[in-house]
Amino acid sequence: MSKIQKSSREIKNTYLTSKGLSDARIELEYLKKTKRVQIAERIHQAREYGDITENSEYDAAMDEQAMMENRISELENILKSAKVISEKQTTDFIVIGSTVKIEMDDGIDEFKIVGRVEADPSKKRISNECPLGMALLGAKKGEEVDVATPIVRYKCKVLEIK
Amino acid sequence: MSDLPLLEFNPKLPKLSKNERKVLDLLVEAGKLIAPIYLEQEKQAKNDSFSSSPYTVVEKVKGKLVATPYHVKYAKLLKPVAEKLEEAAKVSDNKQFANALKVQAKALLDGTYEKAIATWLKMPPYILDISIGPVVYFDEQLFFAKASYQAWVGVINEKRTKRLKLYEDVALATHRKALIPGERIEENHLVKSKVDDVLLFSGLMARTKFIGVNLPNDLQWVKKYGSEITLFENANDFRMEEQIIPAFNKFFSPGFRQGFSREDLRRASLRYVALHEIAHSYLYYKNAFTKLQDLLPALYELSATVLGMRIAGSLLVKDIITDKQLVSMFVTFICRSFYLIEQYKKTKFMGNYALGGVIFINFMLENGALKQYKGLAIPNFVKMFVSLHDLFYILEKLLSSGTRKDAVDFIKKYGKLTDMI
Repeated sequence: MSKIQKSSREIKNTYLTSKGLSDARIELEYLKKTKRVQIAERIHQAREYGDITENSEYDAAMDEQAMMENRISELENILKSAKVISEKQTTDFIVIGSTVKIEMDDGIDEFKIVGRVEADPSKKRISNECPLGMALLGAKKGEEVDVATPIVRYKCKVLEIK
Repeated sequence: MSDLPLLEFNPKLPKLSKNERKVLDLLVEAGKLIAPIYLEQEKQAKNDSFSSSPYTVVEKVKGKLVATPYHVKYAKLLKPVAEKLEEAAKVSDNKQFANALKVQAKALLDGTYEKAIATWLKMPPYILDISIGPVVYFDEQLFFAKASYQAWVGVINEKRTKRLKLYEDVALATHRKALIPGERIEENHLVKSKVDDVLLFSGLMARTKFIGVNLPNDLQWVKKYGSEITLFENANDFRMEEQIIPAFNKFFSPGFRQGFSREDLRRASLRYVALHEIAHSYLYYKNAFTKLQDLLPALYELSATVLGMRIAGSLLVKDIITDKQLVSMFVTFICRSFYLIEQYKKTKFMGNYALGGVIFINFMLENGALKQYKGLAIPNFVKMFVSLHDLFYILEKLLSSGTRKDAVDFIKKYGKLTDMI
């Protein structure tokens, strides 16, 4: 059972635009080559202030190091499973990379559907894995799809695919 | 209510410079001086008559009605407040903040409130925050349609402000259709937002203990200058202790309560208020005040909560919040409603909010979204979310084209206290 779960995790793709892929690579390189050295230097300096049990500078640097290592690991996983979204998109139906205009809950909304790594709803980029993104994939212009979670239900009409 | 309306908090603050600390202390001193003025207003309210200006006291002098502007009526008490703000302005090394303090000090003394509002709304983000002076909260029953003296002093909580900004950006990016488009001031006015760690509530704010506001309320000012949402992170802790947790323990079964941690409810309480304030941006109906008069506040506030919950649904399908967080918002709103209803029965305070709560609960009972069993509330959140749509439709219809009689009929139907409430 655990073997099956593991293999299904392994084949899960992380969808990225070519820019998203390039950004991830640049960030990883920066973290590994520059940031790691900077934080190590801060930890070294903080140690020289003396007793590390009462040293807030040391604690802050250690926290930052832990967060950075997590991010490095996350980026490495993203790059391992990255699948680049084609620049040329069909407008016949919604795919990852489509910009769509929809009507839902008495509101008109427009956003791009992207992979979860690049999702940022405040910048009108929603994930293909969120309930709305999942419901819209494959839908055609004029089609009405159901968007549901355990609590909410919406009818969502596709007005435009760009 | 004659105790001095002052509430002091002791939040953990971010690192401030010496200058900022000094200015902050002066602002707190200025804010405290507002409390006696509000106390005067409370006494005055018993004798006050209606006037066309929200910033005027109307009283009988030798048998004749005389209108006196606030800044004249309370001049003696306002002078030291203005002086304190001037002093803070001189000390502050942030030029724009200092200028806004000076404009505000002047407004207190000569009634140029619009200029002060405009100056604050144009002010770029700064770590210190103050609101001081008379403000029209027309949902506040004591001075309906009149301005109440109030102050808050706080420090911006950057992390929470970012989160609020995310909700606001996503919620307001959707073009929400108005039921009657011409009746609504369109929502594309400027909306600013911030979350404060608050140090002081004074005057009205100490009485109402709001944890969120969206000001100004004057529609013409909103059109010209936009509006600003402010949430008070730590004031929410106060509400949790006093209102949400006791109601939660009283009205929900032990089994149900196990599904929610204190932190779930604390965050939900702030979240539903945040979305309530954001929703106000979609509810500026031009003629609602004229048509619905004294019944508007209860309907307006309830509309914002109901629309806020619906907006939460759209955040949920975009993975910004979770099902659990939405459900927790429902629970905290129900708890707050029960608390306000009980309080209203005892003190008659915050009646508009209590009425909103009664309407919500009765509507949910009628639709089977809420059931009662041995005094306990049993919610069905799926039905509750569906019912929000129907309730909001009725409320929006009242706000956009309803008459006072329509509002009376609606309140007669859903605003009655029943066995449960």
